Amino acid sequence: MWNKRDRDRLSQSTEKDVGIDMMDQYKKETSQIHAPADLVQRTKLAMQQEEQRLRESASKADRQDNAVVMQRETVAGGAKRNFKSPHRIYKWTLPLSAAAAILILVSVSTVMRSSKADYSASDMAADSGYENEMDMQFSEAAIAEDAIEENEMLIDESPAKPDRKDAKEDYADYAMEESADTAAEDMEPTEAAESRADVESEASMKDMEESTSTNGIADRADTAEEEAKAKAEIEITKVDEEPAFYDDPDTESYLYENLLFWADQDENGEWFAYVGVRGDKYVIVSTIKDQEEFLEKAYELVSETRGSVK
Amino acid sequence: MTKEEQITAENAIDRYADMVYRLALSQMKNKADADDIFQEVFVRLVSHIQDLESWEHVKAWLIRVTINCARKHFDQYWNKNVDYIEDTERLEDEAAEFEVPEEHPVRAAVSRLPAKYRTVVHLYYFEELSVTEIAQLTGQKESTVKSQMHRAREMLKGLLSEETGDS
Repeated sequence: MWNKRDRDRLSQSTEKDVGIDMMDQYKKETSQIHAPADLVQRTKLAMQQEEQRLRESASKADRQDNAVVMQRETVAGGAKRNFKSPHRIYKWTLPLSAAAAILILVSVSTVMRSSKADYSASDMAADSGYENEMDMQFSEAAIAEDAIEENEMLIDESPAKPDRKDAKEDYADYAMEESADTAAEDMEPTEAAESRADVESEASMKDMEESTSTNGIADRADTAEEEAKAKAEIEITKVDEEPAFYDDPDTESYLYENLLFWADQDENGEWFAYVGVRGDKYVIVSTIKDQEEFLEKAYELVSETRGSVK
Repeated sequence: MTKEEQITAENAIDRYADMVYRLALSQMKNKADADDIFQEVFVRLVSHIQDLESWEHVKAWLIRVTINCARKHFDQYWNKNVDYIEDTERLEDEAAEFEVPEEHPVRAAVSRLPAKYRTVVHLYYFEELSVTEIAQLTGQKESTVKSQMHRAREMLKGLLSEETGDS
C-alpha cells in the first residue's frame, strides 16, 4: 500500500535536500553487504535444531493429547473399550467400600436394637412379674371368693357346717400368703406362669378338698335336716301345770314303755300329748298322724330331754 | 507456486538472509550483535512459519522481528554496559565509526543517525517501503514516521555537508 503522493513528495524533498545520488549511493553501499555464509549455515543448523525440538515437543504434546482423549473416551464409554484405566481398582473398591459401610451400619443398628430389646424385655419381665403377682393375688382372691360363696351356699343349707366367715378368712389369708411368697421371688415369666399354674392346681385341690368336706357337711346337714325335720314334726315343752286337754274327756291315756301319755288328736289328725315324769310336766306337740309313730318319737324325745326316763 | 517457493524456514533464510542481515547491521552497527540478531530472528521464524501465508507476510514478519530484537538488544546493552554514559548518540557514533568502512560514506552518515531515524531511512530508501508500511511495521503513527523521515533528511543533509566540506 504505497502512498504514491507521500513517496513522491519525500523523494522530491530528498532529492532537493540530500540528492538522489546519495540515496543511490546508499543503496549501492548497502547492497554490497551480504549475510556471511558461515552465519547462514550456523543459523540453518540452529533452525534445524529448533525444528527438531518443536517436533519432539509437538509429538509429546500429541501423546499427551492422545492420552487425554483416550481417558475422555474411556470415561465417556467411547470406542476405546479395551483401554484399561489405571484407576480401575478404585472403580471396584468404591461400591465395595460402600457395601461394607452399609453392612457396618446395619450390624451396629442390629446390636443397638438387640440391646434395647434386652433392656425392654427385662423391664417387661419385671413389670409382668408384678402383673402376674397382682393377677395371681386377684385370681387367688377370686378363687377364694368363689369357694367361699359355694361354701356359703352349702353352709346356708347345712347348720352343722363350721363358721363360714372363719373359713373364708382362712382361705383368703392362705391365698395372700401364697401370692406373697411368689412375689418375693424374682421369677421369669415362664416361672411365674408355672407358679400360677401350681397355685391354680393347688386351688383346684383345695376346691376338691373343700368340695369333699362340703359333701361331708352336706351329709351331716342331711342328718341334721332330718333331725330338724323330726324336731319340727314333734316338739316337747316343759310346763308347770297340767294342760287343759288333760281333763278333756276326749283325751285318752296311752302307756308306752313305762310312760303314760295323755294324748289326743286335733282336727287335722295330728297327735299331741301330756306326760308327767317324776314331778316334771311336759307337753308334746307333733304333726304326726300315726299313733304308734307319735308315741315312739315322743318317748325318744322325753328320754333325750330327761336323759333317761327310767 | 513452485517447489522452491514453498514457504518454509529453509527457503525463507535463503530468500531473506541478506535483507535481515543488512537491517540488523543498520540497526546495531556492530557485526557481532548483527549476527546474534540474525540468528535469533530466523530461529524464531521456525516456530512461526506455519502462520505466514505468503512471502510478503514472511518479509514483513522478518522486518518487524528484526527491529524488535535490535531494540531489545539495545536495551540489554544499555543496562549491562553503558550505565554511565548519558550520551547514547556518542556511543552509537563510536560503534558506527568502528564498523562502517570508509568506502561507504553515505552509509556511514546514515549509521550516525539515531536508531529510530536509521530504521525509517533504511526501510524507505533501501527496502522501498511506504510510510504506511513503515508505520505498521514499527508500530508508530504515519505522522510520526513522516516527522522522523523529515528529521533524518535534515540530519543527513548536515552530515553529508560536513563530509563534503571536510573532504
